[in-house]
Amino acid sequence: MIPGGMRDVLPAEAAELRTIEQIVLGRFNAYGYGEVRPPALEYPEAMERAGVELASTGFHLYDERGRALVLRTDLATAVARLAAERLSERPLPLRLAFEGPVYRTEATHNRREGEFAQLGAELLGLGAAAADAEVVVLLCDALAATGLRGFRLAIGSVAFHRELVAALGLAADDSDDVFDALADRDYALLETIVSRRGVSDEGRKTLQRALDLSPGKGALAAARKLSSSEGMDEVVERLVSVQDLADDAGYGDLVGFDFGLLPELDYYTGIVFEAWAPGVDFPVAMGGRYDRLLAAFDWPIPAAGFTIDLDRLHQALVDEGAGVAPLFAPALSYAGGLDDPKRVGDLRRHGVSVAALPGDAAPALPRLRESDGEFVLETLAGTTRGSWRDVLRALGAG
Amino acid sequence: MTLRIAVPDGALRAPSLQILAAVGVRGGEPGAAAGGEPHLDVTVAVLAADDVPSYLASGAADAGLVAKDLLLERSAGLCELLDLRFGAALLVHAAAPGASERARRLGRLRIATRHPNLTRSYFAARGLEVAVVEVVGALDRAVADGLADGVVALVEAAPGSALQAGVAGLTVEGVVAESSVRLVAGRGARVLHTAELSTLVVGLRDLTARRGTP
Repeated sequence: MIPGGMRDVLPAEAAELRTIEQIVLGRFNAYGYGEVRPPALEYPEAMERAGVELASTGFHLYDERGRALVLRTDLATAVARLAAERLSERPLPLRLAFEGPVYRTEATHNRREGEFAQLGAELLGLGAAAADAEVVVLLCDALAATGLRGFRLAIGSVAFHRELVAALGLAADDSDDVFDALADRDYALLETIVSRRGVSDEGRKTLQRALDLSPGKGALAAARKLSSSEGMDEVVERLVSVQDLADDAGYGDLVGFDFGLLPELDYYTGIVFEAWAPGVDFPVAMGGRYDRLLAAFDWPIPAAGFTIDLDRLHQALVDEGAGVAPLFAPALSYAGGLDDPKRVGDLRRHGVSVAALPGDAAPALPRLRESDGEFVLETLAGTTRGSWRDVLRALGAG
Repeated sequence: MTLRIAVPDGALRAPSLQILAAVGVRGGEPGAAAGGEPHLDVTVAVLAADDVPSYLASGAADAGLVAKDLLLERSAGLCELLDLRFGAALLVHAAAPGASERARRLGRLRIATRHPNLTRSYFAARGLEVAVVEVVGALDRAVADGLADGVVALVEAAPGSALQAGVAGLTVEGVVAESSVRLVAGRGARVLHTAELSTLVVGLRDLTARRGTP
């Protein structure tokens, strides 16, 4: 028995998850992102400083002196804490990667998992559009490298919404209502709010058009036309340069703009994005710019990054029918193992996985046995008979 | 990519298929060819009304027609695109005679409903303790038979009409929620099918604006 929301991962699934992790971390490394490993336990006040809501989302526990602790609910926040406390003397920018499980009580975010793995990257100390583009491109690159084909990245902008709502001329309370409706994606409610609170017809049309914008470059051109302030112009120009840089990297077709996108977390300050693939119930990845996050840890520098939901990415790959090549080939069962420890050692030295106890003469392939002075190697690809040298060659170990 | 539209079975089925047909989306009837026009590649599936939100949340359908009360009850993190302004209904609290005296003395109300979440939050917001009894059969009978002191039930209501419709033999005490049918999309569908959804929303918005409030 295990607690609700927790799950056991068995070999077939674990092997694929390990492969995906390796591929993604390999791409992070290719862009110069160095892995950091924050601890599983943090002080809740540190996480709450960054605006993470823990009362209903965290698993709480206490140390031996009665001090409150919480299992990390989000790695991006824990990495920001780590960077501010440990790396603030380093020259900027800093590129950090992370991987590991996070823990949330079941009640949150409509998801049932109490434990799930995040993979992510953070670019600290650069506020330029080029930095936004780097994390967008890195995410596309990492997802594509796993073999995922059908994904799309929707990019929105919290800054665009801020400017848009400011242009509507609403009172502060009403602006909050508008933001809440946007975050809940309740556009019917949004229409009601806007029509009741004395927004001009022109303002309503602007908002409507912003939410209706179709993806791609057309959306940005339309957004530029909608722009009614210098602030909005700036935001749109920034998104245009992100699009241009994504185009240059060859990912332009995967990227679209969705001005209805507004995440629940309010630590985002600039672009926000979600990656979706067919048939999954949560984004495969999400991220954006969060220039105030590090300031919560007394290090006011800009930051952008994302987290990939490993389980959702895996699910999307399976649904697409994509194979995930295992890092490690299945173990060879070798009936002659006990008689022949040298040969077993030989195979293992060459990186072949061997199970060689008497009980391992299993019916599963691949299988190796000795018969009439020659070796018989049976694999899914077929049967090889011959000398020990032939066996090694057939296993790619010669 | 084909846009998969989920339509609720039951009372909302006919008006749902009708409004979709009016913007050129066909399908959902036995033997009817699926398709859309002018530029919309769609399929239409008729599902049990209660199942539509799950299909949308899981990505098994891209867009759907869902009554607002069901959206509120499920709070499934879906993207509500448009109020289609048909299927208007009120979710009301209706009580049996003597229910308030019983509640005063016993400290809690027993409410029969098909909307347990909305019922709990409605009474919690009013500082009242309730025992929610989830009922699949007739709600008025649940009260008549003594299972509950009142119901939270949907009653058809053209906007502006009096609330007398109500539930047989019970007094309407308050409105829990207003409902009508909404065009809803899954969060992922909004990203993967942006262009198709935009076409659908624009067509349906023009249509509902032309029709006005029924």
